[in-house]
Amino acid sequence: MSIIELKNVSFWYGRKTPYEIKALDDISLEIEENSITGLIGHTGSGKSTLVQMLNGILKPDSGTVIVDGQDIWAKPREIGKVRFKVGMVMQYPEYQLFAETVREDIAYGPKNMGLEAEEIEARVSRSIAFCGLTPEILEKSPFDLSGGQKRRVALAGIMAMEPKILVLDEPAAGLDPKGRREILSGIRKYSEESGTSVIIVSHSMEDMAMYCDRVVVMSHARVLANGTCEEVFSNHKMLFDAGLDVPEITSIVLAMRKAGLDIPENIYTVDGAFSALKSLYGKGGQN
Amino acid sequence: MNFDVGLGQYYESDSVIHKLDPRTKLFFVIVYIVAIFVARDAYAFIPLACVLVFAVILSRVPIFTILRGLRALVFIVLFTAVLNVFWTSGTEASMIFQYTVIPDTWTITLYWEGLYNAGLLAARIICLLVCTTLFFSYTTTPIELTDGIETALSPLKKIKIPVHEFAMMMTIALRFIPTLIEETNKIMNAQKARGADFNNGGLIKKAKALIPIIIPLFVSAFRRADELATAMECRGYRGGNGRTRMKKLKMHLRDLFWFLIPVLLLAGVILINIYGNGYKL
Amino acid sequence: MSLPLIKLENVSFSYPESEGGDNSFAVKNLSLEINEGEFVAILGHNGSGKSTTAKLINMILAPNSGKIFVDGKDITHKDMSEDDVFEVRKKVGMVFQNPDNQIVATVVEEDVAFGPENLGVPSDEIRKRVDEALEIVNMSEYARHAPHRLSGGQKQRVAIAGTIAMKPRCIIFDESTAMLDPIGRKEVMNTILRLNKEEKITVVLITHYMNEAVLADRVVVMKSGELYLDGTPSQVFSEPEKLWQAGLEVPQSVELMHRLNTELGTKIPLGVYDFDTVAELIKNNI
Repeated sequence: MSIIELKNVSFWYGRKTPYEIKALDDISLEIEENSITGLIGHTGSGKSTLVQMLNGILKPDSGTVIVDGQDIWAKPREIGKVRFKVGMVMQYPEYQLFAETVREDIAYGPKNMGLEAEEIEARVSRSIAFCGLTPEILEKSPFDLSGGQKRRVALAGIMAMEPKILVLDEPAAGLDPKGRREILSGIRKYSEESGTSVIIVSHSMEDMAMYCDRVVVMSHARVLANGTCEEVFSNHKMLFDAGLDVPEITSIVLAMRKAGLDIPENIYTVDGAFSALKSLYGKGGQN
Repeated sequence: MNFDVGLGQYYESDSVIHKLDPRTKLFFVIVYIVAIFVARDAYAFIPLACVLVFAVILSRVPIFTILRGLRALVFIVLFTAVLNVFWTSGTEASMIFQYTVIPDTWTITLYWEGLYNAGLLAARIICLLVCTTLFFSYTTTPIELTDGIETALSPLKKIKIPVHEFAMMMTIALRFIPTLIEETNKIMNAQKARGADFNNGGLIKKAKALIPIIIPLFVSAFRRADELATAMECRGYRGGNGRTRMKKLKMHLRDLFWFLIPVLLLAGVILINIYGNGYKL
Repeated sequence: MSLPLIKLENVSFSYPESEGGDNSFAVKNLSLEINEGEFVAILGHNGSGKSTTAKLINMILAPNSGKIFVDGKDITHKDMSEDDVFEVRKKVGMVFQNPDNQIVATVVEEDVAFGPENLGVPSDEIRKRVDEALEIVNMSEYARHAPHRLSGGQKQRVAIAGTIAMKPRCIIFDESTAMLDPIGRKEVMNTILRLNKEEKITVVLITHYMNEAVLADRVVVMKSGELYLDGTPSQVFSEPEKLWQAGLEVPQSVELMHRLNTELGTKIPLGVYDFDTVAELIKNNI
């Protein structure tokens, strides 16, 4: 089942001016329900534009965007409703915090949805739990928190809207390795427990390989590939041609094959490489 | 992501006009504006326009670019012109036509004087706009302009007016306008994604809807200011004292020429005002 | 080379409560020497004190206790005049994280000139330095461009040029690659390597990307304000458990070799190698 479907979507910046740039070139794409999809591509490949198509911040010049079975631009006046269905966490979301307390800030989205006070309260509590925060934080000012906590509060603000689809643009940008792991595994857990479909935009192939089920690769305003991690990361040539990398471990696996080790090439995590080496050589190895 | 601020319409070239000292340009524009407003005789606009056309040609800025820059202001020019057409009264002899809207109370009368006035006023505004945009934005970078103002006003430092600091503030403001516009857009999109509605509701509701944009914008501007101050300190900034400049402003012979032109022009305009026999404003 | 360029002796620092600190030490009893010509990477989790250390060296902050020497001069001395501070900043330049918040001017070359202008360098000399600096960072063709039109990596290279033009002996990069995309990161890392190898500028690179740290001559790891590990990249990254404890990561190659060693009993010597060497090592030891 696909939760999002793009049909022949094209988009230009500055259309019909001398500075015209085609950001999306006749894109057709389906995003699967209940999965975590990684979106990769260079800056300028069109991925940020694509993301802004999904919640109606940008309107396609041609083509249709179908979310949860509905053409989102069928009634342009009601485009606001799409934003409750597709939650969007922008890059460095901590810079959007504004309210006096964390509680108010997280409640901003649900309030705009017109929910009852009790329901809002319940959602605030649920969302902070998902983000690994404790209730004491609710009464604090968001501006007194540490960078990592602010990021989580901003994330909770979107999760509290309980969207069917959660889109995150570089959710781990600027965090240290531990913070990175925590936030990405937190998102993974949230997706599994709440059944939310997630789209993550990231530059890190290693993170994609570790936390996503599927990967979409964009290059020069077009979709190059859309498949499972295994399908995409085993297509090394396509990635290299687009100027992208494979995860480090995949490069090592390729080097091992070149050195004569009999290891399959469709490996993209350390766990995968270890298991493959173990089953191949662990038992009946030379020593 | 095409944010272009009017002030930044610099047109890259190394023409004579581009190379003029910004102080010369300041002087030229000020005296030229005075001349425009002194001019009362229709014939006075001939030298005014000629000098301007001469400068435009020398600057190598395509005339088309300049006209496009004026497009946004066409309305203002037309509006003033139209007002003048109907508000000027003349003699019986110069009447072109008359139309009675409501008998005895409202009659529209059009005189030749009205047309002349409108035409001359439009000429004034166009000369003013072309002159300032040509000299201040198409051929001068904002930083050159700031430098020019700073140097021209530097005698004021003697009476403790912080001229350097003001110039520095202006430069930084110019530098950060595009950054903050971009930031505002980002924050707006982020709050829209949380269901913010900026278009509906009454005045109070609309004002309230702006809070989630203004607060993050301020917080971010303060953070930027703080980081920028640290970065500037690290690069040895400690005010204007002991500071040198890469591009020292230097007057050349050509600057003298461009100093003389507006002075002669002004003198000419005054003479034409007195002795000319064209239509007088 | 007898004297270290930068020397920290038992330095401690805590942010005052008024500035959101909680009186715990951001840097605790830190001693560290950085020699002329070295390329040192400082790694550490968020809040490990690595950026604070950079700010202490550049006199943006003053330590509560301990001494800091830059080029043999005690910069923690209480008689430091404004001119002395100026001298320190001339020797130790700094490039920050957010490329937008360190560019002052509206034209690239004017921005690069900002530092030398503050130093009171004569005009002709500034012109020369600006052209050279832009050449080194490969941005000459953008000299007359507006900075806000550049990519993140390009902006950061302009910021680097602005520092080089001050002719510092050492440049500290405070997470200067954190906000960049992979291409921008590569541009900046190549520039940093060139500065160190060709221009002989001492480099201190604060980062949390392991693949940047492995390019350094020496890696210093900080944990909760203290010095935790110090050695060549190979030495530091051959202790994955210690790095994990400090909230950091090791390259995936090291992780794989470590797992093979602990779970399959192989004896692969851990370290930082290129992919082919890793493959050979695994092949020969398994």
